[in-house]
Amino acid sequence: MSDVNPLRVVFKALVFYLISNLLFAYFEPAIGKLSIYNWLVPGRLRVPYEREAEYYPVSHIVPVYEDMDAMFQSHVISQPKAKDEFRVALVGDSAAWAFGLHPQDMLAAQLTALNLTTCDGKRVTAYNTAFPLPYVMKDVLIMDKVREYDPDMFIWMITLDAFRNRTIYTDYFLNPYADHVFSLIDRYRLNNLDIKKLESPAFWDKTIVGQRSRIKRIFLLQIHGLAWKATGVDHYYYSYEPLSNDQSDSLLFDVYKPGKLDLDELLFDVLGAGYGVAGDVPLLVVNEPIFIATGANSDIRYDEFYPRWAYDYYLEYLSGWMNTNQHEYLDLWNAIPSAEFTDTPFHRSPEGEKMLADLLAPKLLEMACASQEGNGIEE
Amino acid sequence: MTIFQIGILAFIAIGIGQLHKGRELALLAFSAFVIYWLQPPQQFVSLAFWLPAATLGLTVILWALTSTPESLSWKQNWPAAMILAGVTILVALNRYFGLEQVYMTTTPPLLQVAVVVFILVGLTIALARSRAVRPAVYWLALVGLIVLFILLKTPYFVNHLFGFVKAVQAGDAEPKQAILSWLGFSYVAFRLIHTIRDRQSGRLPSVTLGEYVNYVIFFPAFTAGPIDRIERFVLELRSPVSLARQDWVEAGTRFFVGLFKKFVLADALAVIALNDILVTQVKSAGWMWFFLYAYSLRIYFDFSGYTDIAIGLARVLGIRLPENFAAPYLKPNLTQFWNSWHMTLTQWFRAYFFNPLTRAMRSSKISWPVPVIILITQAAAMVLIGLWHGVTWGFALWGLWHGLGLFVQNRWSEWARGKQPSWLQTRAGAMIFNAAGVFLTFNFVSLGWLFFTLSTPDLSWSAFQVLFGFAK
Repeated sequence: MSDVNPLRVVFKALVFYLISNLLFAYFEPAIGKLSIYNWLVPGRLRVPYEREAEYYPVSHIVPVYEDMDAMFQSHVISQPKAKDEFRVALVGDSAAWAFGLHPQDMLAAQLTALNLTTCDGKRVTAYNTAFPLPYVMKDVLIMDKVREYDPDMFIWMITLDAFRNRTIYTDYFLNPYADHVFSLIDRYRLNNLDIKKLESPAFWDKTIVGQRSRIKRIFLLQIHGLAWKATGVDHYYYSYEPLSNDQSDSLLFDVYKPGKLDLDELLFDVLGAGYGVAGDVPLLVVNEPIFIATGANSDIRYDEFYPRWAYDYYLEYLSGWMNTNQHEYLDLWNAIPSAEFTDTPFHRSPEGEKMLADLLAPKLLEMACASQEGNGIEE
Repeated sequence: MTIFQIGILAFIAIGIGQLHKGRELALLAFSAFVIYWLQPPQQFVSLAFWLPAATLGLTVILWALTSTPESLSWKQNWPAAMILAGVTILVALNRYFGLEQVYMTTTPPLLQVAVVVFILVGLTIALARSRAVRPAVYWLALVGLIVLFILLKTPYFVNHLFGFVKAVQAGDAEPKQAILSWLGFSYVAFRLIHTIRDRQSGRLPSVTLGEYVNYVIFFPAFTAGPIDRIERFVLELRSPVSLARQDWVEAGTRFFVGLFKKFVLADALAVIALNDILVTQVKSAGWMWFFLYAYSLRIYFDFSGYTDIAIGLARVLGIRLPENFAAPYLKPNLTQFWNSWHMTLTQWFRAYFFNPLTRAMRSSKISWPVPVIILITQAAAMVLIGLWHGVTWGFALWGLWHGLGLFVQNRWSEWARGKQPSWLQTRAGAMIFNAAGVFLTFNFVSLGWLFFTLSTPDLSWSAFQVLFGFAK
């Protein structure tokens, strides 16, 4: 006969379970920092993301948007910076993340492949730290996080669509960092940001039970790292229909009707916060290229996203905002031929990425050298 | 099954196990409910109701067919009959309760259900009373079950039949692809065949309707086995449950070890277990072996985890289910592997296919050489075990791989008998020989999984090429 009393075992297990949950919620251990990436397996070249769960086994990833520690510990940027490295972090939406492209074809890789050298002889190494959501507040949060990895420069790819308030993204991307977002809102007076759905997690949300989804995702991301090492695949390379040059005759931009686009309601204050978060790290804002149609109704629409009236208004406003705030920026909205766009008016082909890298390189070096001079480094 | 569903099953199992009276009927009601509850949604939505209903109907009919006269009295069977009809009608009433989030996504109209229940009761009574046709009906039932099994397990038939029906319904010219998932049917069919064969041979004990249906749809073992034997199951079902501390500890240990195996080890390994996608992406032999081993471990932890959960749950219900796994990957040869992997399935095939076939060949007028008998019986049994998982080339090749492996091992053992070198007689020599056997057996079994898990023989061949370094 066993001497074990099953009721005592159950009682002890419940007590242990309760205590471990309370301790976890109280101390909030940074479990995302535990990672097999960059030592057991190579760091990823872009943050883990996939549109549908059914593609996770194809891409060998599982998104961990609710834990930026885990997101960036799995990224190659969390490796120590070499002495001769000039570290450039690329921030933006799905175009910057390089949807549909192999890691070696994405903009960050193309910039690195140019073998640029700064005035003090440092090698320019670009890192893709974009996350595929068109939402500038998400970019600011990411920039704030990436600062931990000692960047020498930020390149922030923006477009009109990313300036819209989207409660779905607040819910999806900002809520796990609600307290931090509230502090950014206070610090930079982000009055336009729609925070109706933003709420700080309750104590119970911080327990192991409350965090079970995040813990599971972090764990699975480590295991997926083995397949990432073995295959080098980090994305489901889908087939797509090429963009049509013919557009609809609608003048609508998302929910905005002609003449109703109040740019003061868009998130330009977040753009200001981006400069604030970047601080002494040079920030190059780039109005990213868009597909420009030439077929039917192209006189009233640039593409399926943007009617001309809205986008032209945005271009003018952006330019005015930058001038008023005395920021340099690159407006490359029409710099890439239509043939180099893939499935959306933003996603580019490998050749398009190469063209964009060539266009960015001079400004990147100019700003890098200016910042090094500012830091007292002489050529 | 989700961990949440398993948790609910565990709580209810504990509750039923504590009943001093009415345990058999409570178990019957809950098992019947569970088969509706766990049935996955179907492309033809009403099948989510009709498939579990068919499981119950088929089971009741086969009870009537195989039962002995002393177990047929209405007096001892009416409670079970009422419960089965009641659960079915209750589930059908869900269209009025609106509990789709809890169970069943849709249910057919009550009139249809009532008509089917009425027909089923009539058929059961008719079968129970018509003693004269029995021998022929046994064979008819056996063949019918096997044909149904083959149809369901053959993707070609299912796709075309349901695709055709769907196309007709939608008015399309081209048949559409459709899939059918009849939860638990593989195991149900084997339990039913077992009772028919034992009835034919006179070994089947006299069982009531409640006992018979409980045996076939016993909820802990319904989806993934083990395949118990009815005489043993019924004996324990009839005994009052008296669980000592030791029983609770053992049941709890098995249950939680099973959960850990399934939801931690197997689910984590599933991420890197070899699959169709990885085969096309991996180019290095080392990684291919790594992912293949991951698959080998994953399938073991997944399946044996479910078995542990089933054994743990059954234990608190007072039923000791048979073991299904006994450290199979630590066995030094293929025969021992198959004596410790999915043991209840192999025992079933041994009892109802391998042994009868071997006896038939040995006693046939043709004088078959022993090696030929061994080759044919082992290859045929293993191919059938493969096809039990599904009628595809992959499963057939997996069975053939093991059948040939067993034959080669059998011949090798025969040849090597009495020829062991002296160093093998030493303790160290025996250990080395055993370790080498374990290594070879594990790798042979792992290579066999290539046919089992990959969707086409072409992919299996590609994986073989990469594994052995001769891929282009």
